[in-house]
Amino acid sequence: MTLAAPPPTRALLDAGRGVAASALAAACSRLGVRVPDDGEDWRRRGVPCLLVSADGEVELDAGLKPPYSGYYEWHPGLPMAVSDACIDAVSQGGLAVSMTTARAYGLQLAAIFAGALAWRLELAEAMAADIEMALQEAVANALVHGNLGISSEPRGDAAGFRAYCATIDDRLADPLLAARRVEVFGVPVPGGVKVTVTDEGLGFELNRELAREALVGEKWGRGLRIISGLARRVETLDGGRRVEMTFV
Amino acid sequence: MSSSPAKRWEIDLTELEFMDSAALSMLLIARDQAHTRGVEIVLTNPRGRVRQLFDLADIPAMMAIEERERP
Repeated sequence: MTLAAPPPTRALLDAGRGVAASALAAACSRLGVRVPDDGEDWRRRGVPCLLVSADGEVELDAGLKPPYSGYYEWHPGLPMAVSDACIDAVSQGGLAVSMTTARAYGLQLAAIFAGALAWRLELAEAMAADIEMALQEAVANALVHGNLGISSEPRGDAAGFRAYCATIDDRLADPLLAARRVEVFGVPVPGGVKVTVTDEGLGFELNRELAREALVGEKWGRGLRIISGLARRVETLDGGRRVEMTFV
Repeated sequence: MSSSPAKRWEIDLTELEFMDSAALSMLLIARDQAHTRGVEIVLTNPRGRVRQLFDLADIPAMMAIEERERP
């Protein structure tokens, strides 16, 4: 009888602020990732590692800088569900962020992620600026229209805009909606970078939404048009819950 | 008897470095609110990424945009 060799470690999860290493190790036991062993010098081995933390902006910033390859928001009250896409992104030399809607809303996630990606992949300044603008729209869409399930249509006048903002606050107070994740990945591709945003909403159909934006053309719904004007290629997958933007 | 000139409110964008489509929505709502009061809103000196965003979102077709010499 031959024993199959264990699969190579594709990524590690390191416990940051607010996370006990033992709790993280237990939560990871069913996943294709693991926490570093005591004394393991993973930094030297070059295995990509995500910083896992219950903390917010400070740890997000730390997770996007070497030696880490990304940030995964977690505490024992949240399910541990590091996605294959997250592991794929860091395995390919990219960056990954996974956080709840409650945490991501109000953070400058697009600016922080685009800046870190530009530094890590040595992107040209103009490309980094395009990524930040497109990511701002994609993350806002994922959070508000995807995870919080809010249409942008009521924003026709000042009263509508106030109602729209109040609806966002109401939905953020719903723990099930607030716990939905948004994930952002950036991986190098020949001549550029592919940036992906995923959410846990109902999804959308890209061409139908672009056609609708062109028709209504007034005070709301320009995000996808802006993304399409900035990225060389835009694709939606998983029924519109995953938007992939390629910049070259 | 001469008619009084139309009122104009200028929003100077010279120092603005970034905005998104949500902010564009607010500008367009402000445009309509001002219009009901007989006021035209003029956006002056959008630069760099802000100007790029305006062009991508076709804002020049919907709002007055002017370039001004800085004093």
